[in-house]
Amino acid sequence: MTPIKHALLSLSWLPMLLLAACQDAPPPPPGDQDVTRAESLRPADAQLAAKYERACLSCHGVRSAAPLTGFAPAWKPRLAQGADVLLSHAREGFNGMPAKGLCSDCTDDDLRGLIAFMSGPAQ
Amino acid sequence: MNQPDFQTLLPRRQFIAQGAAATLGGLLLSHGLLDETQAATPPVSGGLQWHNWSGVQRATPAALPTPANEAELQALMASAKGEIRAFGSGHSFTALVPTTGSIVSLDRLSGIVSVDKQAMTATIHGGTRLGVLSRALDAQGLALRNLPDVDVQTIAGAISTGTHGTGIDLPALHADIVGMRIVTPGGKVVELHESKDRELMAAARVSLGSFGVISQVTMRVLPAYNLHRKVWLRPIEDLLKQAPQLAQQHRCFEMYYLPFTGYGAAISHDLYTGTDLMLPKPSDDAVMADLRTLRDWLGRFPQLRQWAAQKFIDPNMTDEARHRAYRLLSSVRPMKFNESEWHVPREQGIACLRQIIAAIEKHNEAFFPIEFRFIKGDEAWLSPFHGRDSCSIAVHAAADEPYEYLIKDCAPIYRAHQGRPHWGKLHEMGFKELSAMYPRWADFQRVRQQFDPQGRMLNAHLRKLFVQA
Repeated sequence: MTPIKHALLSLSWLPMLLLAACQDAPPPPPGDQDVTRAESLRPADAQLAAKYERACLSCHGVRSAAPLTGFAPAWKPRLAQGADVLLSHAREGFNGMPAKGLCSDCTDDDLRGLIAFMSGPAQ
Repeated sequence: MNQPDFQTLLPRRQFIAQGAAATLGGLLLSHGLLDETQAATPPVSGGLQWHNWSGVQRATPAALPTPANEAELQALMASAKGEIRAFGSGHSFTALVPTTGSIVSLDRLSGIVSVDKQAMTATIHGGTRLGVLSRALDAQGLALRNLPDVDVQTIAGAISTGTHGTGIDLPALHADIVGMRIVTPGGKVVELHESKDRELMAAARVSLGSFGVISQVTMRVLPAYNLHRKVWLRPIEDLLKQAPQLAQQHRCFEMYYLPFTGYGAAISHDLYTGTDLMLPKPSDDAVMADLRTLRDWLGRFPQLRQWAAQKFIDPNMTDEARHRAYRLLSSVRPMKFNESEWHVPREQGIACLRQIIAAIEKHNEAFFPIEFRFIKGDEAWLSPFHGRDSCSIAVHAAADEPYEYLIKDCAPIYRAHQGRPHWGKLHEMGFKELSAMYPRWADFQRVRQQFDPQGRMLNAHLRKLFVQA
């Protein structure tokens, strides 16, 4: 834990007390092996792989707030929202994610394919 | 800047959103901490739509093409009607892109064209994102000399806006460009190289996309290298005194003031040749959310807010990582924000920062860390670092919160310290002010008009900057 987080996390005790009874535990963060593995994963389809590499990989293939490619615990709560919601988030942007995830030429089918790849089981 | 991890914070945020939104939100609004009338601009409807990363800039262009290669770009530029603007990742907060004409995406112009290991240069498609470029270079044992703290920008967009990292001996990215190919509004390709086009290169390195669309750049690279990162906390007064010396001691040094805490975070990166590499930890991503929570709960009581922060901050805590430079220098921003950043002469940096801190802390709603970096000067005509070593000071506000005070309150301070605004970050300067800040301003405008005699690369924002009223 970094110093700033360590220091300021302490301040979150009040809302966390209130949360304890009504929230599930957050998913575990990915380990170094998960990150290293994610960096090497690519979609099987060459065209989709090219789009993934120049757009999605920047955030989803590294340790960041974005759900890591192939790391099921991060994707489970997202997948639970349904495919349409995930597509909408990808198309319109969500939290730190820009609209279309930095892939201007991605169609909805591309986005669906990329979401399926990133959220899929161990490739 | 360290960012919150939405995964670990999701439960708390869900609670706030679902359970306490009415109470907490109402409380904040009633106390004037948030002004719902100043929320982000609503989306436009109908037709093609474009918006920047933070959502503060929006447009409904007539066309939003994504050319696959330079030839397609040439044809597009030759046939397009009206204004043309290009965008890379939409990470500029100023209105560099919006137009009702054509907005050209560089997304498909991505990748390394060639590498010359003797000259230690790489030729790169203009739409290549810095993170993509860094990984591709690393695969060939190469690296960029420095990186900004966000790496999703395209190389063309980054150099065109004077994007920079930190390091007292490290200039901004555009200083490492040795050549470029620009597709002019008429569809012609102009190829420049610093060995034969010194003046034109000085003009073109930082052009705000006003000469045409940069389809390729050739830039200096280094053998791939590792860095050792250290992060530590200190009372801000200590850091303000130590910063100039720390900048001399470390390859890259930067610091952040955490508003209403009295503390700053210092970050250094130095070359590392050891083999015991260590990836960055799962991140201190929760910092931003924690600072925001602190603001939400105690924002009305700044002294109590500072007392609470100091009560829990342990100044002896440190953090380290040792790995490839590109893995450490840049990070992904999970929380959208709006930003204003200015660059002042290095010798005025600390004095200016002190005044900026005081100005920001007049606003109880502020919680984003204030960023302070060092940049070596260069000679590009519109480089904010033209002719002088500089310090940059950046202030931020969450994208869903008011940001106008960042501009109104801070600009007079920056200007009093001979500051120049970052081209991609919020400011209200126009031709009159800017022309007085840059000694080669008139020369730049002359060259710009040679590339684009009809002014088709100028949108309303650029006309305000470049055209005398």
